[in-house]
Amino acid sequence: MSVGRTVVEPPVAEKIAALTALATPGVIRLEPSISALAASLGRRALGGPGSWRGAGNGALPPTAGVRAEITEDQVTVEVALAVELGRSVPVVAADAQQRIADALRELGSFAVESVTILVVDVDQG
Amino acid sequence: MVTTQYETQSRAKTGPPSDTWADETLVARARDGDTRAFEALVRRYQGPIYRLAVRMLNDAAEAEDVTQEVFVTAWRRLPGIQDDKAVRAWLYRIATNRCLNILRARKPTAPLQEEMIPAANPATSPEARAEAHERLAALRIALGQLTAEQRACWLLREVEELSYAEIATILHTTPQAVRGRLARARAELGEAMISWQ
Amino acid sequence: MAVREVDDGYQLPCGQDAAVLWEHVAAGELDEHELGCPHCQAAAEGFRALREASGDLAEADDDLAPPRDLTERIMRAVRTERRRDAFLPVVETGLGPIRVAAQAAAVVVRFAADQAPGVAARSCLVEQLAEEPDGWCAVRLDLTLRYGTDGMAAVARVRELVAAAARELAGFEAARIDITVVDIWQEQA
Repeated sequence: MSVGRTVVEPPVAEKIAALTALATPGVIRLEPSISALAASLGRRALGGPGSWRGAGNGALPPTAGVRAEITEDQVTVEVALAVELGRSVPVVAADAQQRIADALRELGSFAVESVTILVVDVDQG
Repeated sequence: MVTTQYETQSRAKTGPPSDTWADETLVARARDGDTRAFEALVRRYQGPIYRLAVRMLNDAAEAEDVTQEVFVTAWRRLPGIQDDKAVRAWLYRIATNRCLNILRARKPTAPLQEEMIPAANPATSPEARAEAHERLAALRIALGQLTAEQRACWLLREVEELSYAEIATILHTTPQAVRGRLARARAELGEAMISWQ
Repeated sequence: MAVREVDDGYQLPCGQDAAVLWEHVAAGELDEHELGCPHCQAAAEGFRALREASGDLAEADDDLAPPRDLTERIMRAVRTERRRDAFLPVVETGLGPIRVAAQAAAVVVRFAADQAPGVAARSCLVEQLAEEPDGWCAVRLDLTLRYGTDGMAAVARVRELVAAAARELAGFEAARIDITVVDIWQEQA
């Protein structure tokens, strides 16, 4: 077996987090939001000049409501979403969080540093 | 002893449907961030706002954009609304100002597009239908020849059926001035309709 | 019609005020002068045509309906506008923080209050309380009541429902629920 580095770009992690969140029962949509993560990274996180995400390829467009940061072997993800009215918000959020962590672990060899869930809205399904 | 059945009930009672709530209830909730309430407001008033924009601007695509801008602006400005009950006139005000700004910025000639003239309502006979169709077309052309302020005045009164006081607020003038503008608009339109006859 | 603009409006060449003629045409009754005057007659014809056409215009609604997807486009734009509001106390699972926006909690509270018969919720504010243990919040709720509803019973029911929903659906303890009845409504006939 040959040895080599496998790199996963943040947009891939974001896409997985987004799809997993949306597949969680009780999650009705993602919510575009200015996240704490993005704010802490400054303008760069929002796709501006020198964006840490925009290094060269533009294969995947930014995923609204999801921010991922990959450092060394660790991935940190933040997802902003809306939960279905009538469901328990903490239960749905925790479910989404678990599923996202599981999906990211399956993706590659890195550890999941943290998965932040922001429940921004509650709405009819 | 309170037990909730939210999780076990497949269909919880959702209370009176938001579409039937009064304007002021929707406004109060929307101001708090309730997007469902705001969506109910959008559904209630997007038709009339769009209709006004189309007839002010004679451009369906632009009218769509204006309608969207009106409601996004309304969402931003909701916290500052003075009278929750008067939201309808408030929306018309945002829309009218937007349309007047666009018209002022436009080049003078904006000819009436033929596609903007839809089929007339069915009348009793083909002749009557054709006459009604032509008469309506003549009115649309005549409307296009009024000044923007006159057109706004006339549409708000004749089609949207707002009160003189509401129109005065929307156009930043007095009810007296509104009557005057309306009378002039009617006179000009009447003159155009004579020529059509 | 050859009108002349005067102080308040327009005058026909015969001196008749166009606005007055309009009123008469609308009422269906012309006065003696107007019946005999060619200027007024011509103008009245124009006004009649105008009234007919206006009626048609007002009814031409269906042809000028906005596209079906406009509501969704507007709501998408509205959702991107949303302020980054306060969040309720953080829940830290082993995997990371879960933060519920106060706004989202307010939706749950309003939903719960709406379940009480005769009640429709209006404004709602959920606030974290500094002086209470983590996870305890204050709820301020404006309500409207249907005319004829027993107000005391309704408000008591609302408190029950809100406390339960806060705990079970939104993940916080409602340490206090301040209710203001702001309006009375009647069922539409």
